[in-house]
Amino acid sequence: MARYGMVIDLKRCIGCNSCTLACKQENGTPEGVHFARVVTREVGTYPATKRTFLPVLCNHCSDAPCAEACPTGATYIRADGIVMVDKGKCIGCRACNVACPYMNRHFVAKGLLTGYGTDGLTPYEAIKFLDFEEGTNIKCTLCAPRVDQGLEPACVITCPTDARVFGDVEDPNGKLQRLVKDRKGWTLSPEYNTKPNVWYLDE
Amino acid sequence: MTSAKIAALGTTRKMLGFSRRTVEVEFDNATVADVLRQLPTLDGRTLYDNLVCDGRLRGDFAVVVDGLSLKADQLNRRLQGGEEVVTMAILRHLHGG
Amino acid sequence: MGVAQSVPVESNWIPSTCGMCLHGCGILVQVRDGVALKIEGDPSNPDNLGKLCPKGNAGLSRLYDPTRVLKPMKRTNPQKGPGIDPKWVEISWDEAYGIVAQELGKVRADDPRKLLCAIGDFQRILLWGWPAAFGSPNFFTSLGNYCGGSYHPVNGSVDGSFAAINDYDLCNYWIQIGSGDGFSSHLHLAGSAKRMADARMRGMRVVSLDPRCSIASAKADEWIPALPGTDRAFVLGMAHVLIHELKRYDREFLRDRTNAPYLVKNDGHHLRSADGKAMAWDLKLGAARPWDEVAAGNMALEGTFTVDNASVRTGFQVWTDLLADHTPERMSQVSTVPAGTIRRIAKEFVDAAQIGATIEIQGKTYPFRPAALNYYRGSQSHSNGLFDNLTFKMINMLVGNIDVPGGHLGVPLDHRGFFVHPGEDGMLKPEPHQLHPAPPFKYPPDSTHLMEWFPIGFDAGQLNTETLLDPKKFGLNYEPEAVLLYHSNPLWNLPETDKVEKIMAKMKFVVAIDIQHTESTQWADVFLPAHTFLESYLLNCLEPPAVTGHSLRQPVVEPVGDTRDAYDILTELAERMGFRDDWNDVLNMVCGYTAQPKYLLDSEKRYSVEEFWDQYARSVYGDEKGLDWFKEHGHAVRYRTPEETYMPYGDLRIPFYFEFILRTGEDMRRNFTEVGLKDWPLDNYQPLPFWKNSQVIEDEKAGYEYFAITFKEGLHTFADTMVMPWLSEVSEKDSVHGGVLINSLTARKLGLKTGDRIRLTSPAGSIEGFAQVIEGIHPQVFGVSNTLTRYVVTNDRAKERGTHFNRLLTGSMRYTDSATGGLESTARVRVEWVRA
Repeated sequence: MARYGMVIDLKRCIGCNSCTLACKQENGTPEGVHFARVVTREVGTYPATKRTFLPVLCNHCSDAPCAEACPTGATYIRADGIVMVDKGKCIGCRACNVACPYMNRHFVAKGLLTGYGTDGLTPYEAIKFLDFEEGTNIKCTLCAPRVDQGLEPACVITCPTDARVFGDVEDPNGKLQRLVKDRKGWTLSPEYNTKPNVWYLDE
Repeated sequence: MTSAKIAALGTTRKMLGFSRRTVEVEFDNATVADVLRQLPTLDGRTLYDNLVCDGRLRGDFAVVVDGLSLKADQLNRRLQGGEEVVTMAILRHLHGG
Repeated sequence: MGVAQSVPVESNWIPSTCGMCLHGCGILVQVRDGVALKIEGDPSNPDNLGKLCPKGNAGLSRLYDPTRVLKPMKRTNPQKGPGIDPKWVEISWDEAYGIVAQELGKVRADDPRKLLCAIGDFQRILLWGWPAAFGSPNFFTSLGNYCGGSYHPVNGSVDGSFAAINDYDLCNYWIQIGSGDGFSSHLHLAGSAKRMADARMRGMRVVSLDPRCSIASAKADEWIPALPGTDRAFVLGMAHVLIHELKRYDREFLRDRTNAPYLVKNDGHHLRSADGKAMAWDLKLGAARPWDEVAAGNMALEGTFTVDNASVRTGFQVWTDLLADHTPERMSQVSTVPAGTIRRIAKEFVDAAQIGATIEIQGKTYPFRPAALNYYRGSQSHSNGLFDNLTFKMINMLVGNIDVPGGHLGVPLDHRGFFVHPGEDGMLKPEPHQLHPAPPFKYPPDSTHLMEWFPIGFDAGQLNTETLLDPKKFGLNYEPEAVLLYHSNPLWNLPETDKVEKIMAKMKFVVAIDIQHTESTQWADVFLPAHTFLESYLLNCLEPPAVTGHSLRQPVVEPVGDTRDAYDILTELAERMGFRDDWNDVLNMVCGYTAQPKYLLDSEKRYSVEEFWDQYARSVYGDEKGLDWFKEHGHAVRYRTPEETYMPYGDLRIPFYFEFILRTGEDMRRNFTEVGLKDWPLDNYQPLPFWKNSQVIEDEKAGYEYFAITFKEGLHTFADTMVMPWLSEVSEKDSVHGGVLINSLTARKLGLKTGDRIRLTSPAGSIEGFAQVIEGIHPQVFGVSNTLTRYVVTNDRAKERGTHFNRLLTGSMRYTDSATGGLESTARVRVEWVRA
C-alpha cells in the first residue's frame, strides 16, 4: 500500500500562490482559511538580500499529533497515510488545533460560513460550504477525493513551475525518495517528532 | 469580357450605394482602373473619379485584389476575370495597446 | 451530511480560455447543475501546459463576485465627483440602450470626435475599432502605453514582432531587466513560469537588473539593483566594454544581417549612390559601392573613410564613437551599479554567447547564441524609452542572437506571425504600427491624444491630461463632451488624477461597459453590465511566446445576472445609432476579411456573437473549424515551428543604425514648422541610443531626492483583481504589498518605521501611504505595489487602498518620449513623515 506524501522543490518555487488559490477553489474553504499557503520571508540585508518562499500544507504526519489528541477519533489516518476528519464525529474541542505544531488545523467558527460577501452565499459557496459545519475542525485532505480517482491534488497539478511532486513516499525507487536522496531533502521542524511526509528540496 | 467581384466597405459602399456586386467590363484583360471607371457613384461620377488622382490611387483609400493591396501606381494591373476586388477608405483611427 | 467535495467527473469539463489577464491560457471548467465549481489549466493546450497562475485559479470569484454589477443602471444623482454616490437605479436594457443611443447619437450628429473612448479589453482587440465606426479617433486611457509605448514600435521595427522573449529552451545566460517574464507577469505567466523553471533547473543562469528584489531578482543567480530609468546606462556600459575593451562582438552577424556596415554621412543620413541605394565600403576595392554590389567578405563593418572629400563612417563606427565615453565608470555614476559589475556581466554575457557556434534543429543549421537580454516595462517605460529599447535590442545584436536558437526572440502579436516585408536597401520594412496604420500628420490634430503627431509611436493616452484641459494650445478645434468606458479605468490608469477628474467634470454624458464599480464607472450616467469571461465568447491568443493559434472562450454557465456580451452591447449601440453597417465594415477590416472576401460580413446583416466568432474561426482555420469545432476542442493552439520562430527576416537585413527614425524626425520637423509649432519636442528622433538624463533624473536638482516606482506580481493585474478577496487576502500577507516600500537603511536615516504614515511628493502630485520597511529595494527608491493603489474598490476586505501611484506621474511632453509618445512610469519624489 502506498503512503502518500509530497516533495516541494524550493528552487523551482516562485512563490506565486497558484497552489494557495487552487486549494481554495478545490475545497471551497471559508474566508481566511487556507489549507495550502506560502510563507514569504526576506533574508539577509541589502544588497545581499532575497525573498524566500515556503509553500506549506498539512504534512500528513505518520505520527499525526492531531489524530492522537482527538478525543472522539474524528481525526484519523487512512491506510494510505492521508490524515482525514470525519465531520460527523467532530465535537469542535480544538485539541487538534493545539496539538498541531504546523498550524494546519482550522476551526470553523460560528459565522464563518456566511460567505465572502455580505448578502448570502454565492452559488459556488452554497455547494462547497455543504462540506463544512460550524463548530467543527477542518484540514487539508491531500485532495483525497481526487486521489481516490487516480488524480493528483489540486495544488500539484496547477503549480506552474512543477515544484510539487506527489506520490508514494515509501517507495525506495519512487520519484519522491529519489528526489529527497539526490537533493538532500528535509522536513519542517523534525524535532516535533511527528514524522511529516512533506519534504522540501533546497534552492 | 472581364468580370470582377466588387466589395465596397464603409465610405466606398456609401459612394456606390451597394456593398457587393459583380461587374463586367466588355473587353478582355481589363485593368483595375477600367473596372473602377465602370462603377457609377451616387454623386453622378464614377468610383475611379472618387478614388484616383493623377492616375494614382489616393492615399486615404485601399483597393485589395485577391488579397493583395495595390500600391498607388498599380491600378493598371490587368485582371484575368473573376478576381475579388475590395475597396475601402483606410481606417487610421483604430486603437490598441 | 451534505454533498461530498466536488468530485471531478470527466463529462462536464468545458474547455475555454481564462480572462484574468491579457493573455488567455487554456482552461477547463467543471460545471455541475449549472454551477461552475472548478477551473483548471487545460493540459492539452501547449500554451500553459495544464497550469494556471493564481489569478486564473481565482476566476470563480470573479464570476460569482457578489459586488458585480448585474443589471443595467442609470445614475440619479446629478452630482459627480470622487466619493460621490451615483445613486444608481436599475433599469431595463431597452431603456439603458435608449439613453446611451440618444446621448451618444447627439454627439455623433454634432461631431463624433467629441466622444472619448477608453477601451481596455485586450482579449477582444478585434472590437477596438468601434470608435472608428462611430467616428471618434480618441483613446482616453494610458493602458498599453504604460508598458508598450516604446516597446512595441521598436520590436516591430527590428523584426516585425510585437513583443520579445529569450529562448527558454536553449538559452544558458539570461539577463532580465525590469520584467516579470517567467516569474510574475507579462507573457503568458503560467506556461512561461514552467519554461523558466525548467531552464533554471538545467543550469541556465539568470541575472536580474531591477531597483527592487522582484520575484525574478529573488530567484535569479544574481540581483543587481539599479536606479529606475537607468537600466539603459548599465547596458550602454556593457556595449562599451564589448566594443572598446574586449573588442568582442559577432562581426559576421552585424556585417551580413544588419545595416551596421552601411555608410553614414556627417548629417546622419546614409551615403547613397546616384540611384538612391545605401552604400557600403568595399575593403578590397578601397571604395564605397552600393550595398548589394559588395561581397560579404569585403564589406567593412568598422571604420571611417573619405568619399568625395567628406568623412563617412559605417553605422557601427558611429555607435562605436558615440559609446567611447560611455565607460563603465561613467555609467556606474548614473545607475549606481559598480563599474566592475558592468564589466563582469559584459564578459560573462559575451563568453556565454558562443559567437560563431551553430546548432542543428530538425535538420537545419542555425547560428547558436545561448546568451540573451530580456526586458520589459520597468526598464523602458520612461521618457527616453525609445533609447532604452534600442539599446536592449542592440546589445543582443552585438552578440548576434536576434531570433536565433538560444537568443533573443521576437514574439508575434498573434497567429499572423511576424510582419516581415522587404523595405529599402535590402532591409526589412520597419513595422512600428501593428495594431493600426500610422495616421498621417495633421494640424489641427483630430485626436486628443495627438496620434497624428507620433508616426512611429503608440497611442499616447496620457497626453489627454494635457490636451483636454487646454485644447486650443494643441490646435484642437473641438471639445469632447462624452466618454465611453469599456473595461478601462482612466481615473486609475492615467497620470495626474486631479486633472482627469477635472476633465470628467466637463463631460455631459458618460457610459460604462464593465463588470464592477471602479474609480471611473462612478462618473458614469449609464452602466451597461457585461459578461465575465466565464459567460462570454471570443477567440484569442495574444503575444504567445512559444505557441500560435487561438483558444476559444465560451460561456460555461448561464449568465449570473442580466448582463450581455460586450460584442452584443457594442453592436446594439451601433444599430440604434444607425451605423451598424459601418461597424460591420470596420470588423471586416480588422478581421482581415478584405483579403478573404468570402468571409466579408454583409453590411446589411446583424451578426449574433456566435455568428461573428464562427465566421472568424472559419476564416482562419477553414470551414470545418467553426465555432462548433472550437466548442468541442477548446483551442487550435500548437507550438511554433523552428521556421516560424527563428530568423523571420530571412535574407533581409535588420536595422542597427535606425536611419528611418532620423528621417521621420526630419519630416516631422518640416511638418511642425509649416504649421507654426517649431518648438514641439522632437529630440528623440535619433538613429542610435546613448545616455542622456531624462527629466526624472534632472528633477533631483529641484529637490526631489528619491525615486518612486510601482510594480505588480502574480496575484494581481490591471485594476480589477483587487476587488477579489480570494486574491487580496493572500497578497496582503506579503510585506511587498504591505505598504510603501522603503529600504531599511533609508528608513533608519529618515527615522521612519513600518506603519508610519508618509507622504511622497513628485513635481506632479502627492500620495500618502503607510511605510513598509524592507531590505529588498534600492536605498534611493520607494516602491508602491499596485495592490495599494485602488481608491474606489468594492472589496471591503481590502486593507490597503488609496496610495494611488499614478498621481505622481504626469502626461506632459517633458516626461514623454518625443518619438514614441511613451510615458514616464517612474517619478522623482520627496518624502515626509505625516504621523506615526
